[in-house]
Amino acid sequence: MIILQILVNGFLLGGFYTLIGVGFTLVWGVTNIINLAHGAIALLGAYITYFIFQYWHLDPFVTLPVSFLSMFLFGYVLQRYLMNLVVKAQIFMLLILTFGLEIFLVNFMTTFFSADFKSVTPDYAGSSLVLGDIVIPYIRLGVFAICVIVTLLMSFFLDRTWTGKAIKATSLDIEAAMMSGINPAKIYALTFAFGSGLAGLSGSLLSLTQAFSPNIAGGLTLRAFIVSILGGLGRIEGAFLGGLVLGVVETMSSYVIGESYKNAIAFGLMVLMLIIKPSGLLGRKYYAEVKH
Amino acid sequence: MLIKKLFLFLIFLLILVFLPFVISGYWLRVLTQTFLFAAIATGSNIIIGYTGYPAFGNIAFFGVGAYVTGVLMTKYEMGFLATLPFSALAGIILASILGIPILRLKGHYFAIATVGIMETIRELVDNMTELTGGGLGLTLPIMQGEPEFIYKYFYFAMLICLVFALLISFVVSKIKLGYALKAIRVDEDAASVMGINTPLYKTAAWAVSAAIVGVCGGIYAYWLSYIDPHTVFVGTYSVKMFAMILLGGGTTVIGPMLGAFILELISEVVWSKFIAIHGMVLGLLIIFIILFLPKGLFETFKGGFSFKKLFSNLRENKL
Amino acid sequence: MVLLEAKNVAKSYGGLKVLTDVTFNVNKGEIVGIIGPNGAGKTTFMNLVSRLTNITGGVINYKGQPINNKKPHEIAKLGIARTFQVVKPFGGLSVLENVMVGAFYGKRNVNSKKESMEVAEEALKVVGLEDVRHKDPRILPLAKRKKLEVARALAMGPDLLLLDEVMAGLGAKELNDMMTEIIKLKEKGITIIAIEHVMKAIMGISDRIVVLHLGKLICEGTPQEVVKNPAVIEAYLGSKYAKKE
Repeated sequence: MIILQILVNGFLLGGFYTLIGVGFTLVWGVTNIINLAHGAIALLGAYITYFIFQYWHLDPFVTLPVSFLSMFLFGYVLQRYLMNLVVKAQIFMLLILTFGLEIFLVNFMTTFFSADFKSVTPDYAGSSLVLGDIVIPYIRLGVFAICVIVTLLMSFFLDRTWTGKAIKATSLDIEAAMMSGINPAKIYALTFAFGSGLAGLSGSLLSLTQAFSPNIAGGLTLRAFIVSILGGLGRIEGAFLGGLVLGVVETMSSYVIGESYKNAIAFGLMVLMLIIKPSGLLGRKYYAEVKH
Repeated sequence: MLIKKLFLFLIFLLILVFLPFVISGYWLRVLTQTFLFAAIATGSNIIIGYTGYPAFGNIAFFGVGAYVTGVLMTKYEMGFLATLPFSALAGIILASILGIPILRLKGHYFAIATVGIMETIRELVDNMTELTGGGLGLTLPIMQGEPEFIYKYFYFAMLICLVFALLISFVVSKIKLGYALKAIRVDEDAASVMGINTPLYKTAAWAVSAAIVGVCGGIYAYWLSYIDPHTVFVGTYSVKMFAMILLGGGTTVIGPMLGAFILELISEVVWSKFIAIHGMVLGLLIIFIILFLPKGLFETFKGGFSFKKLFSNLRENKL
Repeated sequence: MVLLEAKNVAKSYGGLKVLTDVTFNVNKGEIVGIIGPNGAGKTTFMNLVSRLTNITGGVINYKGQPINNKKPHEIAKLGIARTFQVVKPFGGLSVLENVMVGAFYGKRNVNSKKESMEVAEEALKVVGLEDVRHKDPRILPLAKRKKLEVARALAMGPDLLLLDEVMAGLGAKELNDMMTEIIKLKEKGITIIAIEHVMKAIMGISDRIVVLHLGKLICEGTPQEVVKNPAVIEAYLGSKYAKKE
């Protein structure tokens, strides 16, 4: 039965990976920016939840909209007044730009919030749902549910609303989108805002399930990247698949090979995926190739 | 023109050779560190600047080189200098094996794949406790002698390493291979129909760059006399190296070195004054370089400084 | 003697057929023009010969050997050189250095820098670019960049030269110059396949014309034969009418 428990744990973790991957893959697919500060932005969200819980004792689930909205605004401003300024430069310039941003944010958090591990533990943190041999903590279940719901909402938003359609149109053909009256600068900013908002949200959820410090930012970004690569660039349903695969593979390998190889397996999986099928499990030809 | 540049460089070198006899131990260390970064940037520039492949995780070879020297010295009791060829070789072998599959990837995908490789190797080193000491790290034999002598020893070791890196980079840029790399950077399809075996030459470029970075790692390991996975596989070093290449200009031989000197010295000044916010300043500095000086300091201000030139990148690349 | 032989060549991307069943020969020493309306598959054919894309059906023989499984750089070493419709100069290298790349790595495979410089100088002289040898090609006007493409291909020492619209966008005088140059190359013994939109030019220089339409070969013959062919007239007029709608 241990296998079943591991699978459940893998899926629960996978739900979180999905959410952190969705924002990342969206930004990448639409603007062709790999946001290396994604993990750091997620952590800002985690700190928002942490501080609100610490000082006002508000239930962490209630603070989710706060961290989503503040990171949404932060992302909008960042793209509109920083990234858009150089967005047409060579792609790795933007890669380094976001890395610079990451270094800044991580050191900002270290300086002002300290490098210590923090965690958010409401009263109900210990209680679990028990189904036979399988134990599922309520918090993890709640986090999983929110991740799935938000991912579905995001998918719905992109498919059914005008703004969502404008974002998709811009990602497919920026010139055609401009000719139909779409302002790409705004769309880029909006996309980045959604990406950051989702990152902030996932950070808040992260704070509920594990201890965090500024130093885990890089690990979060890389996982968002792996999810995007696995699922195929810019695809919400791909992120869902990628997140679950990563979650299960990580949990499984921790059990089979050992906890300490967890990261090596995840990165190895990514490199392997890049070599074998860079377009991802669900993806088509990837941007760099099409552009070429 | 070349003669004049060479002459200036020799004078510069001569100053660096005599400097250790007049400056303090602190500045010796700062300069040693600067040479280290200059050599890493110069070596990495062969794949990054010449060939146009953003090897973001090139520091992987630095870590591997450091561990090769460390392990050979502690477990096999080899002499320090004797280990360096092996550090270079490790880089060459690794780059050659990984080159064919990884260098097929372009842009982002290549950049991140190299980061993935770096992280994977770090995790492996972290787990190979028997050989590497794992997370506890590896303590190398400490060099015998007066601190004064040791400082100077590493100063000159790093300086020689840098000069070698520059020499290799210079030769590569002048020979037949250099033309192939520059053609690949601009247009790989056009290069291949010109008869350039692009996978082979890209891999060769990466291997050369890996060898140089590997040797840097080896020297660094002995200099520090203690290494662990997190002190030699450092993501921040990658970014710093990249920023140096951009700042100095990646299409020239000495650009990355100049970038390293500027950035390291600025960084050192900031470090000593504001230790707490050093990282934040580094982040802002990188953002500044990408916004205003992505073509490099010298290319941007060719023929004199002006604020207009400072904003030319924003004009060109704004959405 | 047949230099290049296309036998039932086909190319498709997934379900989309770009070329179907194209069969024709190119003899040594002749100039063969490939014409056809947009989307006919002309550049695709050239990409197949230079092996930038995979051949999905049929076989292409060069000097009697199939080249279906060769890499682009191997093709170059066999003596096939090409230009690109969208010019691809190596920016950052000077005009001379651009051409030197061809001498270094093409069929000539020159190893010494001095020799490659000599080869490059000669190729520049042929196309008349000696004056701008130290300029960055990115600042040159289109006509000169097209000439650079030709010079770079020549420096490779090719037996077969593929010219992809080297005359499009040129002024009347430049066009005449280019035509004279191409005929001079033929006289030197280089076989040429040229894709062209400029009808007057291609009719003037080609020994034979191959007409592609929607991925199929619809006509092959001397320029005089081709212009009279009803299928060709229909293909061109048809496409014109289609555009008006």
